[in-house]
Amino acid sequence: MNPWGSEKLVFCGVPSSNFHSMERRAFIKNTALIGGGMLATYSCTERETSSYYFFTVTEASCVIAICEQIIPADKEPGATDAEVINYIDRELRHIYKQHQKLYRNGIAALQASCKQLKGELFEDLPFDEQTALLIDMEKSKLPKTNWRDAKQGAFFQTIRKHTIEGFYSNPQHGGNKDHVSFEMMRIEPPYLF
Amino acid sequence: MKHKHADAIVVGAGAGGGVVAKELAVNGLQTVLFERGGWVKYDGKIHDELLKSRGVLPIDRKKNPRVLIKETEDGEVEVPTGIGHTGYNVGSGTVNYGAMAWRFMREDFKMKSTYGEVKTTTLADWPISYDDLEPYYEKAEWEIGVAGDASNNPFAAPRKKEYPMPAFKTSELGELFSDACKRLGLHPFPVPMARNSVPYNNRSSCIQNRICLTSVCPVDAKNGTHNTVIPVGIESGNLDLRIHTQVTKVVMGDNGKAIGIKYYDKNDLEHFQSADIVVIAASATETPRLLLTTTTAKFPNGLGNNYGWVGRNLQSHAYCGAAGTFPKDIHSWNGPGATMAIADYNHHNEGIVGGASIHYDFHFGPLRFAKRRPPWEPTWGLTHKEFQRENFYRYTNLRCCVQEMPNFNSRVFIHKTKKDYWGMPIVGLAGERHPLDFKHCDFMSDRSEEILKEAGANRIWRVPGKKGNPAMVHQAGTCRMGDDPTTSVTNRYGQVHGIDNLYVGDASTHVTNSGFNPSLTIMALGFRMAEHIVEKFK
Ligand SMILES: Cc1cc2nc3c(=O)[nH]c(=O)nc-3n(C[C@H](O)[C@H](O)[C@H](O)COP(=O)(O)OP(=O)(O)OC[C@H]3O[C@@H](n4cnc5c(N)ncnc54)[C@H](O)[C@@H]3O)c2cc1C
Repeated sequence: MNPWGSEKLVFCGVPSSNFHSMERRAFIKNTALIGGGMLATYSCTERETSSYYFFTVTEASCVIAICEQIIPADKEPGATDAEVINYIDRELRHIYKQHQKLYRNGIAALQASCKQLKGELFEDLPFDEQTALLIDMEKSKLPKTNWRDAKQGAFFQTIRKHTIEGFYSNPQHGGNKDHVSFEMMRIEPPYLF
Repeated sequence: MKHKHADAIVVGAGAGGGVVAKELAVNGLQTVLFERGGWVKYDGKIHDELLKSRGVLPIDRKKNPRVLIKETEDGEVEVPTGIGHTGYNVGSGTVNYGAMAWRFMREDFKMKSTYGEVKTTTLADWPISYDDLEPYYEKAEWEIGVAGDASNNPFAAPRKKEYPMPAFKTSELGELFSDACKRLGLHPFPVPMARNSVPYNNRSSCIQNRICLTSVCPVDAKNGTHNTVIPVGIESGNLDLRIHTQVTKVVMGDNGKAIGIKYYDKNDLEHFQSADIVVIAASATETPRLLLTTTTAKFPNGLGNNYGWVGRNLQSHAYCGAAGTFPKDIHSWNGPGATMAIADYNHHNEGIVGGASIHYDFHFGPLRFAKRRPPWEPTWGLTHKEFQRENFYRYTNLRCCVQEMPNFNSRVFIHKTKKDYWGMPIVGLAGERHPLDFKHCDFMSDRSEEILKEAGANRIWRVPGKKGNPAMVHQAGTCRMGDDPTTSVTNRYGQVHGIDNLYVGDASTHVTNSGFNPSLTIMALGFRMAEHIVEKFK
């Protein structure tokens, strides 16, 4: 476990000495661009590995699904396409360090609620059922027994805020890939604001 | 560590302190200006709404904790708070402000004479009038640099000289607002701005950035104390600006006068600086803290506080208004917005004490727009996204800068046990906005709705005034000036009653805070105070 509480894939099994720096950069770039789940291809051990700083692969799939609920794709890209997860993951390392526990416990509690109510993980449920669960979570109506270590309303509001930030802020922060939200809002480059 | 004796010390290089320090220096006084922050220069943050939303130079809350006394059903509870911090840099809020540079109106200095006794408030007249301050407003407008045109505002108090720069041209949104106001018989006029409409003071004119409020200007066309008076003071050779210094104490002598201040430098080393004159201009929440933490035999409850007025009457503005969307695009995001306003409702509204100016808002980007929704709209999901997509160019909101009623209960105090990083008792905030403020807010939201309706908005919602403690960016009033030492902290020049070489040089001295942003008034008072000090010193 690293200080962020997740296993890291980066450079695992690839001795950095004979890993050319160019390839290395491309490798990091690619792994950063691929969603969490696909990283299994690069896995060097049996353990679950993750390209994220904070999230584990399974946590990431849950977070991606929640973000997509906050900003769904329609005729235009949604939170998944914009890679909002990368924004959240990055900020949890720095400015939102204080929210790490809320995420870790919140995700676990949501999954426990889903298992109890639906028998499945959040990300595996149909879209509308996910929506209904989040409406309950926002109103703190999910079974209290699963939420001893995190406040569900606070978790919802935090991830909602972070999703919106990732989607509507400058891509340099990790989300809003290819300026998709700016394009959707008919904001023309140069993006000076 | 001890330093060479100075003629004057100014604590805080913000709106008030920057002006006072410069005036003293250019008039020959060896002056030391202390500022806890450093210089902020333009960097990439101008292009980044997210970083800007986190503040230009955010204060370190761990080193500068504050508490708020909240009134709950179970009585008062003390909670940690981050509210009411002002700038933390040379120029303070004048670096990243919206730069609206208003003069107060005649009535604003005569609230009690205009409205009579208002129970449960501490409404009072200032010891000075608009006419006393008029020459200094003019000085502030010319030295800081303000663009404006008062000819269309029949409610403005008389002025002797024009603004130094022509008003900014308005935008399509400004015209929409103005036309609606005119049809309603109101009197729209360009907001006076401390921003260069033409090149001024050897700096370029404004390039109309999309977001200006909360930003450092990339071309240095926004005028604060950091790029006007402070550099002039330094050039005189008499101003020693010491940045990254935290002042912790006013040191008093046996003769009942202030003899200097104590401060910590960047490396946490303690220093003593002596001077003949000490001016505290650390903002309306930090200035009372400095006064309250120093006690003497003559002032056992803090300097200037024998009648308990230091820290009282904390005011800002109870912002409120209304927002709306239109059936078609109403702007093309030409920055920075907020070019037109009205002052028709600033006074003389039936059943209301005071009032507010109304302007349409500054522009902001996608991130802040994501928070602007009618109360009935969802805050997430597809509908939220659709609103964002459809209404970014079809939205505006009207902001009313509602004059707050001063009340004794709304206050800054120093904490009995909790200390900050430097060992100084921390700022505590208590009290709430006066109930009358919400009556004003309701009235002003009604007026805003009328204007939006007239302008053709198809969906309008009210933005009500917020309850709570008024320690906001327009904080003022905590060391009010007055002729009677038993009901005020300083005299009409900002000199603390009973200590003839100690002054307060920031928004703390405001008796009332008007229905306009306060900076130009803080600066004008600074010019006036400095002139008084220079005369006395000679
Ligand atoms: C985003 C924003 C927008 C604004 N828009 C407008 C506007 O459009 N128009 C307008 O008129 N006003 C506006 N304001 C408000 C305006 O900036 C303030 O009213 C004004 O700066 C207050 O002046 P002051 O002299 O009272 O205090 P400040 O200007 O806050 O100065 C206090 C200074 O003292 C320093 N200091 C505090 N304690 C210590 C200490 N112990 N030791 C050393 N230094 C210390 C601080 O770092 C600061 O630099 C805005 C403010 C902000 C933040």
